[in-house]
Amino acid sequence: MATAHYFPKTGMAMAEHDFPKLVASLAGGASLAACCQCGACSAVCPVAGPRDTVRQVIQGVRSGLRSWVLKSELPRVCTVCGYCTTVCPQGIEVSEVIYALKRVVLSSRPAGTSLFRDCFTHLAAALLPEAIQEQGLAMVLDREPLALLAFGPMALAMLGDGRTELPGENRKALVEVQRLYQAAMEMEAP
Amino acid sequence: MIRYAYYPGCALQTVARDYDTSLRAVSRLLGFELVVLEGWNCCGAMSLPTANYLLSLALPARNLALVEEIGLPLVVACGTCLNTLRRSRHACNQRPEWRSRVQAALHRAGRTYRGEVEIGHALEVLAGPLALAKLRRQVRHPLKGLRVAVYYGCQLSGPGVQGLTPSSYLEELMTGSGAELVNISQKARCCGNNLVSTRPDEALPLVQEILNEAMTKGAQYLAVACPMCRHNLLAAQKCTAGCTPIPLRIAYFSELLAEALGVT
Ligand code: SF4
Ligand code: SF4
Repeated sequence: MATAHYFPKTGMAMAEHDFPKLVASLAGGASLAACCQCGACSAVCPVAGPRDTVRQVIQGVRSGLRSWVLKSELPRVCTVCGYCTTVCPQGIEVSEVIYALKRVVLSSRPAGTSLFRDCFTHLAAALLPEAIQEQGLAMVLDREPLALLAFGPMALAMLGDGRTELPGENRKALVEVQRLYQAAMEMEAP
Repeated sequence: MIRYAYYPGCALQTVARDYDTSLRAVSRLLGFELVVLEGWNCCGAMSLPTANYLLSLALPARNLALVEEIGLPLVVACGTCLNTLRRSRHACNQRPEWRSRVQAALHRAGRTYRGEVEIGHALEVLAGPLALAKLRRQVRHPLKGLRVAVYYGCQLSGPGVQGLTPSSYLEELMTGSGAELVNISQKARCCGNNLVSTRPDEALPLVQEILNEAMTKGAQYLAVACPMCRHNLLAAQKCTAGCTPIPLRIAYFSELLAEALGVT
């Protein structure tokens, strides 16, 4: 009976052996094998509630249950509070693993939605008044999406009101961020 | 004056200007000069790791490289920025393979990062023993009779690597200004981060519990040290507006300090 709890209710899910490797590498090389399934992470997680727990999701990843893991709510609702990482006795950076899953979930969405846009819409929503969000965001994404990366939601104030030029100091930062972005795109693992 | 490189971050330049202004004024009075980091970029917040892992380490590292160039310790005021910058430093210092990739990316932008910067939160600076003593001496309008609860949220109370080590910075600053401290058990609880925007129905009840505890215990103010926390606490408060007779005021700790120090 005890072991039954160790495994997510998988139905007919198929194991994909590359999935754990992919997640571990997206999580900066996290060592999922070290997990002893103690559940300390689940106990401190503020969003665990009635849904799949952190421990179960880690086990799901380890077992290569891609579709089960991606259907789980946890990667969507995780607030990245980091409590799980703090308590893991095995030193696993659990929140980095959830970051990796967030990424897989987002990129498995229908083509046409911009990963970038998804990422920053919430941030902009938290930091800017609603009125200028939609229009400003569209304008920045259209003219210079990397300004969002360089200046975050401030980019909307800098470029979203139809102003044409960035001040000199900001332009220099933007150019450097563009180069960083390019380098990262070329070097980033899958 | 002790000088620090100061990374304001996006929030303090947009929604949290009051935090920025009061923090700078209070720091000056307590003997610290905050030198705004020139040419800084957004830290990528908690959104970027989802889009590109390497970039989520390299983008904050560019800021760290800028700090190294001016050779001052770094101070930030936002929990998210603190976490993101420390996460980048941690990855670079602990994992050689990521360090070399971050450095290669930075190199393309004409920067180098050696991994030497000290990154602190404003709380760590202002609640140091000497600054606290100075605060007690300089208080002009003690917050006498003001019942204040403090709230750290997850990023400022969390992992030793990335957050602050367990402490009582906020408590000491508030009592140092003459306020009466109200203890709440949920001071380190997560404020819901962007779940408050994406799933308000789920996140808001959790945040309301924090507010309820503070109010039940008779707090008049909740002192916070992170713009994301304040944003979410206010959002939760809005939902219950009208139901509570005396609303709890949610203020940045530096605003309360400014009041006590007589900053106008
Ligand atoms: S705390 Fe660490 S070891 Fe324990 S279940 Fe969670 S990930 Fe596994
Ligand atoms: S980081 Fe995510 S998974 Fe970990 S405890 Fe926080 S909400 Fe739960």
